[in-house]
Amino acid sequence: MVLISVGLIACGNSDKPLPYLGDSEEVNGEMIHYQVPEFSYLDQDSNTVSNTTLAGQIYVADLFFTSCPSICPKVKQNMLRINKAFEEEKRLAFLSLSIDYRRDSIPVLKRYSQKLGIDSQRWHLVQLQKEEISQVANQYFNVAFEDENAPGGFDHSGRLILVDPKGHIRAHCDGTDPESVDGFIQDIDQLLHEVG
Amino acid sequence: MSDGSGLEKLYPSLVSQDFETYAPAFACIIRYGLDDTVMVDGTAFNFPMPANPALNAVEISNIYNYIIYRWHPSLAPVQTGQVENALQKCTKQ
Repeated sequence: MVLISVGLIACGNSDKPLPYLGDSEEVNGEMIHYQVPEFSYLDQDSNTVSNTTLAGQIYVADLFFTSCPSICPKVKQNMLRINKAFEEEKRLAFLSLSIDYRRDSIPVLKRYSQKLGIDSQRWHLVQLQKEEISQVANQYFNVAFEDENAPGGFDHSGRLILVDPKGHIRAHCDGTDPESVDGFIQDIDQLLHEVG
Repeated sequence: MSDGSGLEKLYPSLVSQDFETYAPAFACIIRYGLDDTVMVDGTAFNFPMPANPALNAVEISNIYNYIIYRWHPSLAPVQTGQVENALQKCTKQ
């Protein structure tokens, strides 16, 4: 009951479909919604993860880096909670984008993934290149930049983004805030019902 | 996490009695990070801990004393001067 009421507060009437976030425009009488552009990365197992490999799935995306001393541990704790809430759900994936273009190589991401105890078939960790960080962050409605005065050397937001099978962004939450994440879990549930 | 419990095999618990083994090295670990193994509750934690070069002795004292008051009341709290001294003796500077 507690979970349900929190969800209602966080996302309003759950009978309403989740909104399409970002800019939409009408083309020839049809609404075209914002989509995350095509992508292709190598994950912690050196497997390709791309919009093609994630086809048919919905996914939760976040920005992080493995040596982040500030918000990342909290965000990862909340993501583990989401992972557990949908343990058997094959249609849900995770895409964690590391902004540490120097240190977070594939072997480092692999070790991190093992220590976190996550399933690499479902939860992909990838390293962004220096020149793509701000652009990719922006594509996922996040902000990230290098800042030598920030703890760990990078400033970034801890927002979790929910992407549907067509690449549309349908929900977001503050990954550091357990209550915000409770609402987000309801949103994921709703999107899973929508995609059928 | 905020209850001191750590996270999986990535971050060790602060609540564990094993924290007390590492308490004398606390100031150096916070300031300069740690690229070594710590054993906590039977698990080897060896994912590198990041340095926090911007934290000063007052801030490190506050963190230490918070942990002590909350989970390790048998340990003595520290004064800033002690942390300053400890920081001068860290091997990695």
